[in-house]
Amino acid sequence: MSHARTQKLTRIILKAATVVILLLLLLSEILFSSITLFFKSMITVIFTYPYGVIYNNLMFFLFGLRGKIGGLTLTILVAAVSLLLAFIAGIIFGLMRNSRRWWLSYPAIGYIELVRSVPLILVIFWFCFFPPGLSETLKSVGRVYYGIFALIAFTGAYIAEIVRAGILSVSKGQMEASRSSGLTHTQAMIYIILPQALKNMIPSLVNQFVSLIKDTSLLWFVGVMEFTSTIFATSNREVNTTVTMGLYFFAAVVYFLVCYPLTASSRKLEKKLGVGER
Amino acid sequence: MIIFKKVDKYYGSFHALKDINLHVKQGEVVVICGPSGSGKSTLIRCINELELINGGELIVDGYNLADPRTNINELRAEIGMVFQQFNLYPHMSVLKNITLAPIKVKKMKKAEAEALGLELLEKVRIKEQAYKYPAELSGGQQQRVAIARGLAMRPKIMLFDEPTSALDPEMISEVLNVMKDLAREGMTMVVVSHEMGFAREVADRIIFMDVGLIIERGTPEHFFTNPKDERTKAFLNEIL
Amino acid sequence: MIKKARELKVEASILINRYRFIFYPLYFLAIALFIYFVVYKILLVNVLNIEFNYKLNYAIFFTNYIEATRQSYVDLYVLGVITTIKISIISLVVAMSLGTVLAIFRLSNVKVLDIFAKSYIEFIRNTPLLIQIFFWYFGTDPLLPKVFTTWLKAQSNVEFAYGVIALSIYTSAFIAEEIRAGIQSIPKEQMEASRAQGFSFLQAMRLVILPQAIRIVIPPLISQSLNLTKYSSLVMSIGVVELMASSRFLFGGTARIFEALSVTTIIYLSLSLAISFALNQYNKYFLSYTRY
Ligand SMILES: Nc1ncnc2c1ncn2[C@@H]1O[C@H](COP(=O)(O)OP(=O)(O)OP(=O)(O)O)[C@@H](O)[C@H]1O
Ligand SMILES: [Mg+2]
Repeated sequence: MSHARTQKLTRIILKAATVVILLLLLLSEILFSSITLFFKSMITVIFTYPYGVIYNNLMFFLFGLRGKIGGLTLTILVAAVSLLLAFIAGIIFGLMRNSRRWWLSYPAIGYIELVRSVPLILVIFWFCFFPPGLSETLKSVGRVYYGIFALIAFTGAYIAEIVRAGILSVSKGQMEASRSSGLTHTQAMIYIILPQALKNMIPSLVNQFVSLIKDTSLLWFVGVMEFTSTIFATSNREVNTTVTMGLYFFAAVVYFLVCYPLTASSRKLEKKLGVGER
Repeated sequence: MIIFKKVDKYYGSFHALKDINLHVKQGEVVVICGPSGSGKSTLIRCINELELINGGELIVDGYNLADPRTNINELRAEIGMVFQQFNLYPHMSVLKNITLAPIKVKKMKKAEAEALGLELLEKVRIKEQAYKYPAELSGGQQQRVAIARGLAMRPKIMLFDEPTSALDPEMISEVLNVMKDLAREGMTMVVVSHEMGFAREVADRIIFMDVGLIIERGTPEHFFTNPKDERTKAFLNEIL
Repeated sequence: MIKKARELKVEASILINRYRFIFYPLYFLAIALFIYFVVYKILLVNVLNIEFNYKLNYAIFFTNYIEATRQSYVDLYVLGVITTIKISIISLVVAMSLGTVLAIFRLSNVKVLDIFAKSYIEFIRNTPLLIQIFFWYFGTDPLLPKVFTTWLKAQSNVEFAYGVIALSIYTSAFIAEEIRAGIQSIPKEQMEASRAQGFSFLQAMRLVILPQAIRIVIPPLISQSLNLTKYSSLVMSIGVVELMASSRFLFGGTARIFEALSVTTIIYLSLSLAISFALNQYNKYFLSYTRY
């Protein structure tokens, strides 16, 4: 590179650098002032917050209206029941997906891809609004049950993919070794592949459970009285926006306290399982 | 016992085995060697139908593998196989690894199967490890468990695919000793191996493969003293 | 001759595998027909004698949903689709930049930044998006300067802005994790090996590490954008008229649930297929890239 060109380049770079530095200064000024403002208002909020709102409604948040299951209890109950049933569906569809017979694998592919490419609300709307319009008996079934079905149908597809990945994660040699000692394909699946696959799947399943707990909040759209709905109903009665903010923050913290231990444990498990492998 | 007649094998468009003719008699020990990618594993995996052949005829212990009526599980119960990577079931103890197939396939009683398992473990000289898990064993011990597992179905034929190549040098001999015992007992064995000392000692025949073809075959003396093909000579020079 | 045919077959199977997603609509159609004829017509109607009186009427889409403006439901759906795409793209851009910054924080050696980014990511990832949307929309007034809130409230589509804020903050946490994992997944030895070959740090980064990192990170980022598109439907809760909201208007106003939801499903399906098409194209590019 010639000397003149080098000089020209350095000059350009210097100019650009000054402009960038000035811009950065401006930006940091704005950022800094807004951050201090934010913290200032946060501190005032923390000290002047009417905590009575949360305290008075605590039973409502945790257990719902008197005489009915609701609130956080319902959230966790719905999530647990859905996970259990979705797990069964997931294993069935995951195995079908892996099957070499087209009449087993194609329906599974169709179901999995269909559900995975639409939002959960759409599935919930399908389940909660379509069947009740069809007949009187279907109308009398509670919204919660349709909601649970929707969550099962939705989560089942995701778990099916987890199951498939779990099966593929077991080395091919395991299948070969068991087949060459005379076990049938089904026997090899049951005694050799699935036990190992399930172990590998546990972290993903825990993560799926966390997603499910978060996803139950969508039952708010169809008026099921789970945790989010109780918070929403309470905040609707309040005019003071500070109170509203506190309520939603409280809700976020509660969800976090439920979900984070699960996430953390799944991460720990993942590490442990990863180290244990050969 | 094992008869290959003009066997062809393709992977997609890749011709992996070309016109293989081979006859392994009862009680014979055949060692297959050859450079990497020459089709040794493919050949041995065709014998218990882990790979399907595309042409020719393959008859194992009277079963015709090209015949769709052949019950492949029945046949596989009569063939034991040992892999390079052991492929032990990591979630089961050593003894369970061995007894699983007898219990599930032969419907053997559990006590009976365990007695058999311990007997086999004694034969491969690691009886004391019976209740450990595979991850707690050394490579040589794991491979000997794999051999015991292969023997658990009382097979007529044993297949070995490079059983010692994943092992440290000091562990190789303990595995080879077990295999020598087996050969002396008159087991029919097909072994893919580059252990020429082993081949010289126990092989009835040595087969040399390259690019999917059998290039050279013969007794160990013939093979080591006057190989005909240039490729065999080059290979032996490299390996000995 | 036989060899030629064999080669052709291989090529065809590779092509079919790569473009398999094109056949997905066909699968869906086949399954829908199967369910309709076998499960419904034969099992329910003929065997169990249950029949539903639901007459399809797709013409409902062409009626006006507000008489005064003479806008039909089709217009509403078009508006919904455009809003969905718009909010997804804007949020994706914001989330990408935020996520990259967070990932750099996570990877930097500055303890404070690392802890800040980590707690941000964990908190956002472990709380439901819906709660976050409500928080930003209903609850942030006391935290922000008065001037700003009054200005915001005066805008015509406040909901949209809040939707973008919530969606991009939510997604950025996920994106940050993907980017961090991608960069950390490249073994240290890669750097050492390339340094040992005589590359400078920057050269090694540019020629060896980053190409691999990008290759690893792009597929999860594409699937994150798919997630974002799906989750953008939640902003209907604060009144943004996107696709889900338009379909709710339709079946809320006319009770034509099947028509409304089936069309919505097909639209979401096509959006997702378009994104998986992008993923496929990427993989194809990458496959040809590794070959050379
Ligand atoms: N599943 C497969 N799909 C496509 N090609 C394969 C497959 N398995 C093996 N091959 C090809 O077939 C050829 C023979 O493979 P094989 O594993 O039998 O070789 P090998 O002699 O056992 O080599 P090594 O000593 O490395 O184990 C190789 O060129 C390999 O690329
Ligand atoms: Mg091999």
